[in-house]
This record gives sequence, C-alpha cells and structure tokens, in this order.
Amino acid sequence: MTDSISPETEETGMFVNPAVPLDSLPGTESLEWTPLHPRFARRLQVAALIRSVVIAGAGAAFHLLVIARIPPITENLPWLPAFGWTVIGTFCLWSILWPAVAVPRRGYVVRDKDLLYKSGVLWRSVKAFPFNRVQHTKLDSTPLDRRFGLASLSVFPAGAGAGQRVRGLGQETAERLRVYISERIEHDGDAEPGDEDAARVPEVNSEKDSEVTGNPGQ
Amino acid sequence: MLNRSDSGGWQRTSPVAIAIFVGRSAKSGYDRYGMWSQAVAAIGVTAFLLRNPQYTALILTAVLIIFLLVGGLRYWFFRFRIEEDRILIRQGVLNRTAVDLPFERIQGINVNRGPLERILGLVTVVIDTSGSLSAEGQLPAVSPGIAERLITRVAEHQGLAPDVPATPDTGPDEVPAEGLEGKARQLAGAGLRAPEERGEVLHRLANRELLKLGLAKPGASLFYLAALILVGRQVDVVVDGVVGTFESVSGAIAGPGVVGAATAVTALVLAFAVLLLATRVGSAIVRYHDFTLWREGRSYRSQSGLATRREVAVGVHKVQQIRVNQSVVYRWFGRYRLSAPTIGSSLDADEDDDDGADDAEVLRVPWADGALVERVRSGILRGEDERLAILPEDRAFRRVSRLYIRAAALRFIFVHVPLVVVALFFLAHFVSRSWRGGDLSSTDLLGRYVAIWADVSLIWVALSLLLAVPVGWLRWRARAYMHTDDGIASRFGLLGRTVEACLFRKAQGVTVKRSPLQRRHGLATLEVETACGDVTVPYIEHAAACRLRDYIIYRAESSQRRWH
Amino acid sequence: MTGSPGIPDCTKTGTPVPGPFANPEIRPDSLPRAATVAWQPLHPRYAKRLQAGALIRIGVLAAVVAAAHVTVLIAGFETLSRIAVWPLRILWALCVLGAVWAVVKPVIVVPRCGYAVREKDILYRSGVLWQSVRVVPFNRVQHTKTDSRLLDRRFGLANLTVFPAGAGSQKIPGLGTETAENLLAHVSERIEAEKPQTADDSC
Repeated sequence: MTDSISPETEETGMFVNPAVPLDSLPGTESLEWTPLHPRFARRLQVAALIRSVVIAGAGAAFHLLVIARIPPITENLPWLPAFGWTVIGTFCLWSILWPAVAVPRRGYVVRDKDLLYKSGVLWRSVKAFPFNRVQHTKLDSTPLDRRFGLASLSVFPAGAGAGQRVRGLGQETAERLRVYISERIEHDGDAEPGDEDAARVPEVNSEKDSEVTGNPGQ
Repeated sequence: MLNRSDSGGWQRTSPVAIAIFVGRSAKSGYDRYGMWSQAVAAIGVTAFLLRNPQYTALILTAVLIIFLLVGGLRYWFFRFRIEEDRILIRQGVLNRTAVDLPFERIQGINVNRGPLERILGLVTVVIDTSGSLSAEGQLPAVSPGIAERLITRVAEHQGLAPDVPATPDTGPDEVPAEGLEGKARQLAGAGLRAPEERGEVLHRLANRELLKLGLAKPGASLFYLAALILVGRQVDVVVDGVVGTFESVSGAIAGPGVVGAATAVTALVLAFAVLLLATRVGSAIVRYHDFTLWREGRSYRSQSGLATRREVAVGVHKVQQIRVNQSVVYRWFGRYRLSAPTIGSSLDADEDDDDGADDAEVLRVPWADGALVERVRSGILRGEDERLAILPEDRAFRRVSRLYIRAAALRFIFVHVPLVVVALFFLAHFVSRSWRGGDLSSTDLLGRYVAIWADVSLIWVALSLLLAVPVGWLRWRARAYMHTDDGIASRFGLLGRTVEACLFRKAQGVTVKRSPLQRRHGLATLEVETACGDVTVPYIEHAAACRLRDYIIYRAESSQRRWH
Repeated sequence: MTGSPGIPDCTKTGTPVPGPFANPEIRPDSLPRAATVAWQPLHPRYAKRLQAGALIRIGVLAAVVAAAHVTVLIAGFETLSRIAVWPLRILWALCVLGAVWAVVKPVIVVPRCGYAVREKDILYRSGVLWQSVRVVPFNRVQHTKTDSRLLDRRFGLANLTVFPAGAGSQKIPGLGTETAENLLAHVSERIEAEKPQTADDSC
C-alpha cells in the first residue's frame, strides 16, 4: 500500500474512500479534446476587424486634427507619426491574425464528474472544474456571437475566483452542455453515500423531459 | 409542501437595538460619505461654529435627534420570527428586506456582545450560512434566552434531520458530541461565559507579546526604520551622504547649512519612526488586547479587543485553507501569524488596517509559536492529515526546479521595469537624437527633460537588472512544496516566508499551466483553487503535476463530505 | 493513514482500484437535449417602475440644469452667459434624450427578461443585445432574501435574491409582492428539500 496513495482506513461509518493508485485514475493525457466551434475564430477576427477600423479612424482623426497642427512634431520629429502608425498597424494586424492561431489550441472536455478546459499558445493551461463544486452556471451571448450562432457558457465554483467562461460554443451545444452540467449539479445530493455508481448515472429530470443518449458510463 | 406551522409570531428585538442601529447608520454613512463628511466637518462646520457658538448645541441636538429617529424607525421595522424549520428576518424602513434562513443551511450561530450589551445583559446573534450574508443575518440586542432558544431549535432540527447520521465521523482527537446538548454547544458557545468554562483555552496573548506584535506588524518598512534607529550613530553620516549627493546633483544647497539640515532631518526621521511605532503598538493593543483562543466543540473561537470584545468563531469543517505567515520581524522573534479563512472570506483582504469588524469569518492568530500553530493545524485538519507541513522550516518541504530562479528574475524585471519605461527610454533617446534644428539638450527645457528622463530610465533598468538575479535566487530559496495523501502545502516569500495549505477535497478547481520555458524543460505550474484563493506550486515536473492534478480532482469529486 | 513514512511516491503503480471510480468522457453529441423552458415574464408594472425611477433621476438632473440656467440668466454676467450658452444647450439636450431613453429602455428590456422556477433549479434570463441565462440549483442555495425599495412598493413590486455558497448572488427583480412572497417560501422549501451534499461532517 505504500506504493499508492494510501486509503483513509480510519474513516468511519458511511464515508468510503477506497485506495486509488494514481496510475489507474482517469488521466487527461489520452483525452479527446473537443474543439471550439469552427466559426469562432472567424467571429473573433470580425470583432478585431471592427475594433481595428474604429482605432484607425480615431487615429486618423487624431493625426489630422492634433498632430498635424503641432509644429515641433511636424518640423522636428517627422518620423513620430509614422512610428505611431506602425505601432497601431502592428497591433491591429496582430489582433486580426492571432485568433487563427489561438482558437485551435483551445478546447474542452466534458466528463462525468468534471469539465476540463485548455487554452493558451505560449502559456498553456489546462483547468479542471469538478461538478460537485460548481455553484451555478450562466449562458450568455453577444450580438456578434448570435450572428455566428455561438454562445458562451460559464461555470462558477464557490469563492472569489471568476469561474471559467468557455467562449465559442455552438448555441445548441452550449445549451445542451448547460443542461448536462445543471443535471450533474442537481443530482449531486441524491447519490447514496459511497455509492459512486448512483452518482454517475444521470437521472432524467421529469420536468426537464430530457434524455441522455449513449452515456459512456452506462 | 412542508408543514410551516408557525411557532411564534413576529418579534422585535429590545429597544437597546436603537443604540446599535444609530451606531450602525452613523458608521455606514461615514463609510459611504467618509471623505465628504470629513471635509464638511473640517471646513464648513468648524468655521460656522466658531463664529456662532450658540448654534453648536442646536445643530448637535438636531443631528442627534435625526440619528435617534432613524435608529428608532429601523428598530421598529426590524422584526424576526423563529419558525419550525427556519428563521425569517424582516427589516428596513425605505428599503425593506426579508431574509429567509433555513435551519438546514445554518452553519453556526455566533453570539457577540458589545460594551453596551454587556452592561444590559443582552447579546447580538449573528447567523452564519455559507452565502454572502453581510449584516442581514443579525439579531441585534436580543435577550440571551432567544439566542439559546434559536440555538437549541437549530440543533434539534439538524440533529433530528433524517439524512444526518446520528454518530459523527469522529477524528481521533475528537470527543463524540453528546446528543443535542453537544450539538447545541458546537453550534454556538452561548457567548455568556468565560472561555475557560466553554472550552479548552489554547492561547492567551500577554501584554509583553502585544508590544512585540505591535513592533512586528507593519512589516518590512518599519523593520528598516527600526534598524535605522538602532544604528542611530550612523544616521548623521547617512543623511550627510544623502544631502551631499543632492547638493552635488542640484548645486542648490549652500555649504554652511548642511549640518543643521542634517540634524533636523535626523530628528524628524526619528520622531516619525517613534510616532509610527507608537501608533502601531497602540492599534495592536486596541485590536488584540487579551487575545484568547480556545476550542469549543468543533469550532475555534477567539476573543480580543480593548473596548469592544470581538468574538470570532470558525467551525473547523468550514476552513478552506490555512496560511502561516512569517515576516522578517516575526522570524526574528520566532513567531508566526496564522489565518484560516472560511468560504466567502478572502485571505488577501488585509486584517486590521480596515478595522475588519465585519469580517468575522477568518480565524486569525496574530502571534503564535510553532507549537501552537501545529496544534491549531491538527485541530483544523482533525486527523484527516497528520503530516501536512505548515511551518515554513518543516523538513518535508521540497524545493522546486532551479529554473524557477530564472523565471522569478525575469518576472522581477518585467514587474519592476514596466515596458513603458523601456519604451519611453528609447523614445526619449530617439527624440533627443533626431531632433532637427540644433542642439536641444543644453538649451531647451523640453530637451533637458528628455535627457533627464533617459537617464532615469537607464538607471532604473540597470538597477533592476542588477537586483533581478539575487531576488530570483531568494524567491527560489523560499519556494517549496510538499503534499501528502490528503493535502498540499506551498511555501513562498522573499525575505519572509508564507505557507499556504489546503486539503485536496476542498479544491474548487485545478489548473496546470506551462510557460514556454517550462515546456522546454518538462516543467509545469500547478494551481489548486480553493474557495478563498489559490495554492500554487510552480516549476515542478509536468508529469508529476498532471498526476497530482488528476488525483486532486479525484479526491474532490469522490468526496462525499460537506466542504463548506 | 497506513503508517507509511514520508510522502507517498506518486509515480509508482499500485494495487487495482477497489472501489468504482470512473470519469468517462461525455461526447458532445450524447449530451442531453435542452428542453424548452417556460419563462415567466416579470411583472408588467416593472417597466413602469423602471421608467418612474429613471424619470425621477432625470427630473433631478433637469432641476439642477434649470437652476443653473436661471442663475446664469439672472446674474447677468455678460461673458458668463455667452460662454454658458452651448453647455446649457447640451445639458438640456441630454435631459431630453435621457427622458426618452428612460421611457423607451424599460419597454424594450423588461419583456426580454424572465425567470423560471423548476423542480431543482431557478433560472433568470436577461439582456437584449448581451443576453444571458443564469441557473442556480436549489441544492446550492444557502439562503434567500426579498427586498423592496420605496418605489418598488408604490408599484407593488419586490425583488428576490438567492445566495449560493461564496460570492455571486442572483437577483430577480420586478416580481409582484405576492409572487415574491410565494417564491421566497417556495424556494426556501426547495432548499430544505434538496440536501446540499450527502455527508455532513459537522454533525
């Protein structure tokens, strides 16, 4: 038993927590990550494009109305406006191109007991949120999201953390995910103590009239 | 539908609550319009009163009457009703609220008494759920009988609830609760008896220790000031040096005045330091006078304070995280500061700067030796984890990868040399170089400004580059972690040390992060998110981090215990 | 503890799992289908209440602007009144626009907000452009609260707030007083019925 994470043999009564060797735990290496909606990158690029146009407009106005009328700059520092435009241009180009790189690296996995979310290109992170710690969920969508048929789903665990917002899900997927997570949360208390199986089989909520089709756990 | 038979109508608290409401509305008014009221009080009113002293009494009476009226109205509209399975509280004059607290979710009932209540034999009952309940779950100035009744009701309800097992899962050091009485006792110590009668007293702060606490509290800055006082003889030299540098730089200070200026500055610095020390010690005494920590049933309680005795009660099972902090001065005295937050409270909110009166949810021991810290730790973890290290010098701590030095140094540079500074430096440099139309650095004001700015940013960059590696090394020395079967502890700091620890089953989420540097070397950062903050372990092996992550979420997911 | 000294080495293999713990992936296409929710609208008077509140605020602003205008006219400073012409016009325009917005916005927003109380959770949706739906399950709710301000009471309205553990409460505004009372009672009965988690280690 020294080889594994040892069991809590002293736990009494109803609480059973069997020894689980780490290697037999459901790992995350072999997971099949679900990508975000294919249109999501396009949606971010459109948003960046709109933002760029606004920034460029404001920049042009600033250039013509303010910079061009300050003699010390026009006469002594002719390279300064060009420098500014280069910075703005680089930033805009970057913000338009970046989603194409970043979005394919994001993904999520819904498991029976938790939600995993990975993100990041240089600084990569994988976050895991157990359902039995999730306090509530939120579904939201901006006008642009809806144009592309997308929505965002947030899960909030207790505490000061802002929770995790999964952006760029298809509207249908987001809604179904929300229902699934809600069910997992709401059945959290129904499980018989120690009876893990009971907790795993999602019961059909009569009022919701929904069905689980082909849950791998069954 | 459950049976909602009423067991008692709406009640009011005792009229003494008016005084409490008056105090509260004055405080909330001050909190909201503090700056304005200060400004008005300072300028307008004083001037007016000085000219027309006959109005002083009039205005003061009017203000008093208004406050009394408000307090009276708030008292009149404050009603509560204890039902079979819940307590309802209605209050508010203009903004009326009704709070519904089911006994099922009540986590604890604290009984506090202010000075006035102590004289009149009344108590304030603070009902605690895990939700974010501010002042709405309080019954101010009620008779102790009501408190006792509420406590027994809740105990009955929770004790008789069918789903709750009759025999508690006792830890090794736990005496089984004796039925209802024990249940009631653990829900609330009645707040009426001395700590000794209520439980096992663990710690009392002596006045001498309070003095040290006052010295230690303000942290490093005061330490440096104290050091300055200790080396008092060298102060003149230092000041001379400083003044001399100023002189050589600006060329403004004339020769003969230097000695006088130096002594004046020295005296000023000393006086300031002494004043600072005095206020610190004073505030420590006001806040922590006769600090008593004791254990009662399944909760830790502490009482402290000179004027108002503040009682903090934290149920052991509600603690989400433990933090042990040892600043440089604490280290000198060989003491620690321990805090154990419960859900909804944040560790980062600093304790006693903001009098922290509303924040009754964090157990704080401001001055503890190692043995006490260990004792509180094992009490909080209750046999769930006997080996989780909590003291910074624990041998079980393992270092993280040496690459952390590099990362910490880089972070130091990026934090202390904001990119803006570098950009400004280059910009200033280019501007002063490419300025067409003559030599600008000697004549033009703008030119001189640009040149100075370039120098300043250069010095800034150079200094932080110089400091980066030592700082990184110090941070690496402080960084360590350890984990057991059930919990994880992480240590960090620069000169001081802080240990943060939590049980795996208290995790709300787990993150594995990898920077480019970490990916190249197969390392990762593990972040365990609890309801009160994070426990972070940087620069450990990626595979180990992943395994640990899988294990932590397994423990959180399979735990059938209540975590808050 | 089994008494093994030191920290367990997590890298080695051990005995097989005695108890069942599985955490299978759920493919997106196997997720449950979302049922249509029967949204309850907010109280029809809520739009009027919002209009009234906003109009009162605009009224106060207008009164301030009017006072300023009158002061400028009466004082009769030549330069001041010349300088103040445009700022005053802009302020008046803002007042008018604000009043129009105060009347129009609730009419647009309120019909698109709604709540639904189901067996195990409570939902609130809001937003016209930035839409959101928030779900709070009853077994996470710690306590509930209703409140009504002076203006709310004039329109016979009240707000319901549910508090889950930790931060992040959900407010459902614009309910009829009676609806709010009933909902408060219902929600807190559901709270009692839905035990939060199986084992309570505090007992």
